[in-house]
Amino acid sequence: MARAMLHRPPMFRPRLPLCSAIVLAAALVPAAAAAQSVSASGQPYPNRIVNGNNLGYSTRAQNLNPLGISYTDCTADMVLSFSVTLSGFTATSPDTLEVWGSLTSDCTDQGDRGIGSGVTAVCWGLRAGNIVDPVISTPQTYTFNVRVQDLVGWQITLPTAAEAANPPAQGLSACTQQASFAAVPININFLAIDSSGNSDGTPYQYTINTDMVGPPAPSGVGETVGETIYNVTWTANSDSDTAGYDIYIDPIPGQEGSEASAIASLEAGQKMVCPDTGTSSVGDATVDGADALVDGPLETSVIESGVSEASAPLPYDGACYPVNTGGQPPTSTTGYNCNDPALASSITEDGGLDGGEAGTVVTPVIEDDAGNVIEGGTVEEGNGGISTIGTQYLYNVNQGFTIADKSVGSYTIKGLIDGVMYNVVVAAVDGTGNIGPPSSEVCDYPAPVKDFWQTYREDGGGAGGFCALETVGSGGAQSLAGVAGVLGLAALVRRRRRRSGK
Amino acid sequence: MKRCAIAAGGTVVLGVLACASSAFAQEDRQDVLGGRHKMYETSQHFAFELRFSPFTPAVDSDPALHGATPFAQTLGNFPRVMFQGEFDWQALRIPHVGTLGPGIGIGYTKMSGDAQFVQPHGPDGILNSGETTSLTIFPFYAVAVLRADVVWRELHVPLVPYAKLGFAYSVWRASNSVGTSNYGGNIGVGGSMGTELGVGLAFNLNTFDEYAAKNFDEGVGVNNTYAFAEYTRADLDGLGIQSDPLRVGGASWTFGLTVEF
Repeated sequence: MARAMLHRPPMFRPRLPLCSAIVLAAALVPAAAAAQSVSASGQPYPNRIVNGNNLGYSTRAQNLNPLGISYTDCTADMVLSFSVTLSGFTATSPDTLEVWGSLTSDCTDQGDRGIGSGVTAVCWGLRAGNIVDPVISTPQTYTFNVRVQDLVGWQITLPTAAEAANPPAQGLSACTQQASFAAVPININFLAIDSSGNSDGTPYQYTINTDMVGPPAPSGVGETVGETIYNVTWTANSDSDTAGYDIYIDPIPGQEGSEASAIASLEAGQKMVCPDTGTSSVGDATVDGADALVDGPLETSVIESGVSEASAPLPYDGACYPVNTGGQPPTSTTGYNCNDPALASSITEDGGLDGGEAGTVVTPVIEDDAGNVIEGGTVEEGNGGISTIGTQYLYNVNQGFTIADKSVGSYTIKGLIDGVMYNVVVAAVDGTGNIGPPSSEVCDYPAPVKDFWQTYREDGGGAGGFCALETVGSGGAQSLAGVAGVLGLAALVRRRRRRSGK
Repeated sequence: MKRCAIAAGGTVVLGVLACASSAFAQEDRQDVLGGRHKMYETSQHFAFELRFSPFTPAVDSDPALHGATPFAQTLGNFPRVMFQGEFDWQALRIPHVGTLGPGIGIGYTKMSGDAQFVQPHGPDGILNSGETTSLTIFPFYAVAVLRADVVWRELHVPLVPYAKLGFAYSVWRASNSVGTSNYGGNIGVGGSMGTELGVGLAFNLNTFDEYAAKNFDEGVGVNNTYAFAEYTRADLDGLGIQSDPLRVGGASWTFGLTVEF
């Protein structure tokens, strides 16, 4: 009431007759009951709490849509903690502060909140701890905790009108309730609701982008190998969601296991060759999966690189590598039978149209909280999803994206061990850090190669270095003298011209 | 020694030709446009060449290889494009002959191929690996350049024969997908020295539009623009003072543009 009076032009007050003032005051009583004000206090973004730990505004880098919600945020059962300032709540017109989620509505309409007969609720209560009938004469800040799972779990299947105000708590299944791999904005509405279910005063709305579906898996994945290297190639994604790629590899580099275990996993038609220290293949040991494991050095030379291998199995030292025995077919017509279950798990979501059908759809431009465009409003194609492969298989897991460029279609993994059969898949990553479903598997083993330099040196070439000079020989002296003579002659001519003044 | 003799002989021949042509020399160029466009020519002291050549290094000519062909085997014995730039100082003008002076050049070329597996690989027994092996060459040279432009300046024939002779030093790097090659502790980086020889013929493009050529001269100081073809030979055999150089020189035809300013 006081605020309403303050906003009234003072020039009118002295001119009001007493009776008119009484009538006007009576008329303004309902307005006074509707003066509740809800606003966000100082912090512009909610804090993120996981397992009771306040992680601050964001858990991601700035280039990964830090203020949005990702699949990982959802599965971690993150809680968004909002600080909201309330004012104008009076004892004479008791209101309840309620928190509602919605895709498009501001939830001020009763029908949107499921109140009334025959209505369809488009808002859902967020179980954020409603404040019932507070009396707040001066602005006070309250904290409301919104579970991410409760926020994102009603995108596809809305609660019934009866349960809209207090829907059941969502679980992990809420994290797969996004129909598109484009980000979806969800509104969080803070409303003052009177005893009749009407929205009073000025509500506060916060919109957050949720993106819980990674981009489609890259297609056309292939590989080649070299000495300690593994080249992975794929067809770069054309959708607008992909921001880069991650690579999974198994066995994990540095944890390859032993030569003996590799021999045990040899495919049909392969044998393991363990060369001795010479360049000739004579004397090299060969074993296959049918052989009893050798409890000793696989190489015929006991000492290799100064290290005794008498106590097998040792970790791979790069000395052994599998080869085809010849005459025996491999286990699959395409070569190796790449079937590593550790790299095959994912949740596939429809990234194009609702209902799981493949297709295309044009999406609107979506901006993050800072106003940056995070979805370009372009055509979305194919199926997205979420990789559920263990993060320990991520290559360069501690360095974020493996490849932060969606147009890239190849990557070379270095520092591997020759002879180890590595399985590799590629998954696209979106701007929120969601890793999409993995591609089809490829597998191969790095093996020793001869590059130009090795071939040259083995053929007898002796070049190397910048200053490999030898004693001046007669032939060299003559060549040198010839060139020097020409240059000397030129200098002489120049000098004579100067002297003659020409 | 034989190469030096050839080069010296070529220089002499050019000199003789230049002297002979001096008998036909005229005092000044008579230009068809002279009457309506004042003859103007800025001073000329330098030349710059932009050079391109299909190049194959003579690595396999190394006697130490005893007939083996590691270059052809791994990188393929076909030419790659070499880019070069050359800057000449035309320090001397020899009357009725042409210009003589030092020049320096720098270039770049790279050749790559698939490294071969030591053993047949995989179920199909393939030999070509996914690893790239490369040889990168940065040739440097310093030469004496004689341009017998008397033919153009005095006989009005828009051809300028020229010859170059000097030292060459090429820095090279053998590499693979991992980085610089290393075999048995020998790192694949080094330099090879030798001689540089070039004999070519330049065609003066000013003849196509002398009016534009004069404006080009007045505006930016370019006196002549040439297209040239040159037989280039770099014998990087170490000059007898470098042990076991990688023979990254070779003979090739070089084409390009020259501007004199």
